Amino acid sequence: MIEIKPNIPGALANQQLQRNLKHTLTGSLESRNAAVAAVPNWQDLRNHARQVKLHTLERLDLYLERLETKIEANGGKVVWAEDTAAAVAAIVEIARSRSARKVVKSKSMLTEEIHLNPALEDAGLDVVETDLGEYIVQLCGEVPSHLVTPALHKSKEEVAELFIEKLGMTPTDDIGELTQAARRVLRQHFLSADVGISGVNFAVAETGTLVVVENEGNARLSTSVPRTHIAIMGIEKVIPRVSDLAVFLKLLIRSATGQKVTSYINLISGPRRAGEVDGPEEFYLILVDNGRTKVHSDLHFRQSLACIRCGICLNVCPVFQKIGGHAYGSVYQGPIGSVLTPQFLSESVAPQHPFASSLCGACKEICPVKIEIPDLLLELRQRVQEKTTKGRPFGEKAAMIVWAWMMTSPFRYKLASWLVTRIARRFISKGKPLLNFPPLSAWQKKRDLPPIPARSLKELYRARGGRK
Amino acid sequence: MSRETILARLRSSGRSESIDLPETLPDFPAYDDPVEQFRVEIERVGGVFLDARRADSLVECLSGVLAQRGAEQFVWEGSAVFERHQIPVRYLAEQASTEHGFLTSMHADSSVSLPIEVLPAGDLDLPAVQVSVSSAVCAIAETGSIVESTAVAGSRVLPILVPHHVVLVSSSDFVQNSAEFFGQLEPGKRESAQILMTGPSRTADIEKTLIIGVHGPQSLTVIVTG
Repeated sequence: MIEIKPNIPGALANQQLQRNLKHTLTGSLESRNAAVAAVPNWQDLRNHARQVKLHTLERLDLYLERLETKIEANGGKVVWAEDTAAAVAAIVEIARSRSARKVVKSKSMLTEEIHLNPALEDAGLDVVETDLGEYIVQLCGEVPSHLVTPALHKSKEEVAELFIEKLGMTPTDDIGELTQAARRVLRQHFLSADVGISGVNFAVAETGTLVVVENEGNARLSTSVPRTHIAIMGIEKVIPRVSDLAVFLKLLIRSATGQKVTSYINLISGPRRAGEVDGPEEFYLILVDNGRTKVHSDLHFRQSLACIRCGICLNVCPVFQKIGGHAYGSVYQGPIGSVLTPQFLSESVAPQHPFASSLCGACKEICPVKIEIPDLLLELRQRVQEKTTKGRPFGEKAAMIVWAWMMTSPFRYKLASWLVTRIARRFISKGKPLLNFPPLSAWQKKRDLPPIPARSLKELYRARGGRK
Repeated sequence: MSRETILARLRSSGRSESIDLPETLPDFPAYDDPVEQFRVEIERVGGVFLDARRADSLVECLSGVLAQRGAEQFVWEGSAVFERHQIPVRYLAEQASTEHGFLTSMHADSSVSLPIEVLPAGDLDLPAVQVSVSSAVCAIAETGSIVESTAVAGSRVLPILVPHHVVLVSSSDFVQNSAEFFGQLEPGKRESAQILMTGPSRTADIEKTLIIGVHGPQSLTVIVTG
């Protein structure tokens, strides 16, 4: 079982993490908001993208087959993998048959999901993450703490310490120098790698084209320098037409980084062709299910497969802003992670995820493809509750009966509120917490209950001559 | 077989309602002067814009780039770039074929024609070279993006490898916005890869601080030709 609750006190007490979260997430939100404000028809773009995604999900089988046909026509090979084991086995097999020794990777959350790196290392391969943030996380032996900025939880001092220890660089905390050190080391890895593995942002069915969005240039190198390129994607990443990329890229990039466009957008349609001077000789696309067909089978939850992994729902979430990514204990974090994780792994494996939300609705409001995240979380809560408890506990039942009795008569309601305010005034105004006994004391521990004012709103209203 | 299992699961999971693909795209911005809009956008992301639309100004422009970068030679993507932008060149040695040579270099010691020597094919480790030149197939005004295709001169990695990258784009290859670009695009028809480039390589992975030139070039110069 993956738990969130035990990780929360540590995350809240970690001051470095709190500083990094505040700094990074505030900045990301501000630049996103500015980038979106510059697009007058942002809502039209959202509606368009949602419609394309929902249409595609309705006919996912058709578009996947079309994608496969096109990729093969372009000289690539397609491997279908129904679960983690099948996906990992396929990649290990390709690497082995080419006698590969070194694998360079550009960012892919799916490879985190299937725990690819340890499996490749077990198979005797040298695996190097090449996205700067992913590289830092890999050197630390950690996992990403954000969909888009994986090393969000690290300060430059921590990165400097790491590079001094692992790369033997001369001490500095200049971020430019740190970046150059990584560039030098990683360039040599690119030039000596046998296999490049990349994720996929969108796969266009009508042309068999994969779209990989990046800023650093590492995806271009990973997918072009080694002899073999293996791209891996969840089956939900397919879209029907090239033309819709204009909409999807605009939504994805402005949401993810607040840029108008990233430095590089790669469009890859197969291996190197005759007349081209470089590029991989072989190209594989791994299509991974790993729980996605299960999500797809639920007509209401199907929309969660529309996610384009921009990460903006993490940035805007008041829970994520305080606890960060690692506290979720899962590969996918934040609001969309809390929707996907219980579905991919089952509610009993991640029963706390649907509850790690205030249901404030900010994620639904900001999502570029309008996924109804709070609604899905509520429904997941219900499912968890049904699975884990046999009806409501006795105390809750009794309290609800008393509550209903009190609330269904004006006289009883008035009497109760008169009584409660008298008692509350007497105890709370003297600074003695009224509720300082279990189980209510748990709620009081981290919150101040303000003293009850001397007069209620109704009393004030009457005192000032208001009519009944 | 995973393939049949996955497809069977998808087919059996039913449809909620029939949703059609939208027929038209939402509006994208258009500009009176696309080249000027392009200049504004590329300079905003730290790119350099040079105008060589005036006849015979291209060689001068290129020499200026070399001087600015303190370099003595370029690496060219291939001979297709010379042809596409009508650059006068003379080869220093008899060439068997320039089509499959990986790169050629140019010494900017002449303002009339550029002397060319061919480098060994496939050599990606080019520490001595500071500046690379390739040709774009398209420039997008809305975002300041230039598009390179492996159909032109065939290198995927050249735009990323060298510290300073220069791209030539013809003024007739400008489009208004990304909707116009993707609307006419047929990826994979003639090439295995295209890349949209907007400014130099960048990262903000450490403390959200913007750093230029992580894996790719520290500078991107776009020269518009006539």
